[in-house]
Amino acid sequence: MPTIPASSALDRRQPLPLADLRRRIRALERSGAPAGAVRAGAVAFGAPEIDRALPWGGLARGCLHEVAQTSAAAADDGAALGFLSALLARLLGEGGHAEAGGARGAVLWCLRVHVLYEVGDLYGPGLAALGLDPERLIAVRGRTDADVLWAMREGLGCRRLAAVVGEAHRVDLSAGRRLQLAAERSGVSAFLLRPDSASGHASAAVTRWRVRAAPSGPSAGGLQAGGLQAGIGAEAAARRGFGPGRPCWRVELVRCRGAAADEWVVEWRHETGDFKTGSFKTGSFAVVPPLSDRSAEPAATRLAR
Amino acid sequence: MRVAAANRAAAVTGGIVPGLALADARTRLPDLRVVAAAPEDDRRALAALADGCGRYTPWTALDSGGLGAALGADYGLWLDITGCAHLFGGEAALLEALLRRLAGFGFAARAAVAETPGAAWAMARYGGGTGCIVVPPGGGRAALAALPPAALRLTAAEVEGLERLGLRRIEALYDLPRGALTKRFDARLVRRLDQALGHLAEPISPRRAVAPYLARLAFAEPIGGAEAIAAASRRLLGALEGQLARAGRGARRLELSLYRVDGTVVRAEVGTSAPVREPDHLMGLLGEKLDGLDAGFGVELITLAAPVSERLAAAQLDLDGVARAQGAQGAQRAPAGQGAAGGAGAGGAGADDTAELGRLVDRLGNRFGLRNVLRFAPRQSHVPERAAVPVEALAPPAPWSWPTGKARPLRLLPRPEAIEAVAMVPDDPPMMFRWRRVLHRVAKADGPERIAAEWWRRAQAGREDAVRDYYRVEDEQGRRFWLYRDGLYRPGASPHWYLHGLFG
Repeated sequence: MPTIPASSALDRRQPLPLADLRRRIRALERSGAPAGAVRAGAVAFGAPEIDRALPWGGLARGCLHEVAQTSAAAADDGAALGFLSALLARLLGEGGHAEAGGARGAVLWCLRVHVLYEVGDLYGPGLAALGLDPERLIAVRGRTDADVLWAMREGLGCRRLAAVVGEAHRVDLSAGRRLQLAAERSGVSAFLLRPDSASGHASAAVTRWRVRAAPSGPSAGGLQAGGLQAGIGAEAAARRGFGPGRPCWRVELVRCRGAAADEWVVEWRHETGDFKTGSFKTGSFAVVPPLSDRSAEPAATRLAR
Repeated sequence: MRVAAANRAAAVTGGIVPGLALADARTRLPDLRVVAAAPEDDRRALAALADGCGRYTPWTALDSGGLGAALGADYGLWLDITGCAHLFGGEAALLEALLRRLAGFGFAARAAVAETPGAAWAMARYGGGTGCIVVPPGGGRAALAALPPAALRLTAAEVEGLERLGLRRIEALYDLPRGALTKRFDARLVRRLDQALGHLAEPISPRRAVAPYLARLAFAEPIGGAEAIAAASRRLLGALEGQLARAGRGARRLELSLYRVDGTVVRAEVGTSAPVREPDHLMGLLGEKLDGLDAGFGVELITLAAPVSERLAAAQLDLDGVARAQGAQGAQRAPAGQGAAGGAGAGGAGADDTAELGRLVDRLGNRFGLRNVLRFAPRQSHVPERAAVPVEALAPPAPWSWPTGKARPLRLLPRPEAIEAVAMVPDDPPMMFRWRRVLHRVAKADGPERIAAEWWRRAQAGREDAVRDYYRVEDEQGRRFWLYRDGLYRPGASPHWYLHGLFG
């Protein structure tokens, strides 16, 4: 399947055989798994380019996914965390939010206490600003990676949860495999958030993503904090241009069963709203062209537009 | 140096008694073996003994009164055996079993049962005989009559004073006018007398709180295997469930005590996030702790107590016999959920789910501590550090919602970190800054958003102008940070910059 490009041309011409092939390959790949392990379907990114590239038409539920940041440095932590939070917002948001009736489950977020001292704790208002309801997160703090993995496995046994997230450094193949099997059994999605250097070796995850920050486009309202203040020097205003725009990441699909590696620059688009009144609308990803001024970066192999 | 305690051989052959100077004692018995007193160790041993006596009654306490207490020579235990004696075939049988047991561990002990602590204390120490005395109900006054006044737990000075008056037996005090006694001695003496005779209540605090719900299981032969202990725990959970259900309560904490044949007690405790009495759930929690318990040479008795419990309404059974709700509380806690995918029973899946989440939280909490399983709740404060608070994982949702209109980071550093920043003009965001030794060039910035400390907390903040100007900045790679400049701009003073959070 790696030879089939993600571009839409082929798709449109022969939709049926391709879909059929995909289904058969999927069935072959998952033959060992209990039937209906992906019955809960998939979470669409909302960006057709990405959804088409993935064999499930989105991110499969009930599977282990890995999200890697490009380095272990705290400064690079934000991008991967942001991407994962946005994914979770979509995962929870499908079918409306808590009081709207459709949503099911909470998210179990397991991390080592160590992380709290290094880069700090998850911050509710920030998650809320990104469109993820913080009150649906249950945070668990263990001491070691083994604690985190244990908590994840426990969480994956609880169908009440929608997803389990673990921030762990060392996850060996068999531990990953156990997580994947537990996720398949219960239909709860599992996510591992870890530095890229630590995930170099083999992994049992169904998909692996590498996320790094990307310069944002022009700000388009929504997240403006104070806006440009009147009376700022003209030079400063010019240098500043616009404030930071919507969250923007360069997302690399490093590995995926049944799909080719690919890379996109995505923007997270969401409205703000109130989780309680149900006025909240789930945000969606959008693939955007990379900014022209990022010339230092090597040209992306293939950027879907 | 003085003798604090002597064994019987030394006392009989050399007349060595507590209080004797060490030099005198050595003169009397030149080959005397002397060991430095270790009152702390003694106390610890006594505490362990008290715990071991938990097999007779859950109510045990250390006795620290008495003449020789200062010298460490007179240690005692209180056991309240009200309502327990019948389990051992009566009071006398209980005492005999207790003394036999203590003798087996090498302790010389005397014991007495009486209606009041004072009378029991007196009879145990001054009652004579073999030291196994049961004072019949109403017989306290007669039993005490012939004893010396020291049996009333008096100080040496008081005893001496009474001797000088020729009062050598307690019965001599019975008919003396109270007023005169109080005037000459102290109210304490009369109080002790009244307490011994039962005219005055004497409250004593037990060493460990007595759990209101307790189940016990004694074995004819000591058991040791892990499976046997697990099976016994299961039976006890069943018994406890009955007690709790009758009272309409659920356990928040469980305490399993194994009484080992060597007289020591090992305990395991588990906590739950919500009141529970369902044996399967509790067994799942206890099961994890059982591995860590050392049964030693065997376990004679197991007790399971619920020291902390809360109201728990009875589970309502549906027509098909499936429990519908774990409790009213549980139902409100989580948002009304659709049936989880593939949940076993279609009917009543919502409540089952809530219970399932509770079980998960309990399992996690018992491994990491319930403090480490939490949720975030919004707090109505503009100060970033105070805007989110950790709450119990199953706490009801907060009545107000999260502010979503403002730019806030995904991670907030545990405390703001000082950065070196270069800004063009005072009110401008920095052009570049160095954080954790890495230089970041600012490409885009937004702000300032001025956040002032709440006026009622400013005194704590230490400064009147505790304001921060927050900027959201993006470096050339697109990484986004939350920076602030501390304090108001003052000409001449260089501003202090801090990094407070990371955006997604």
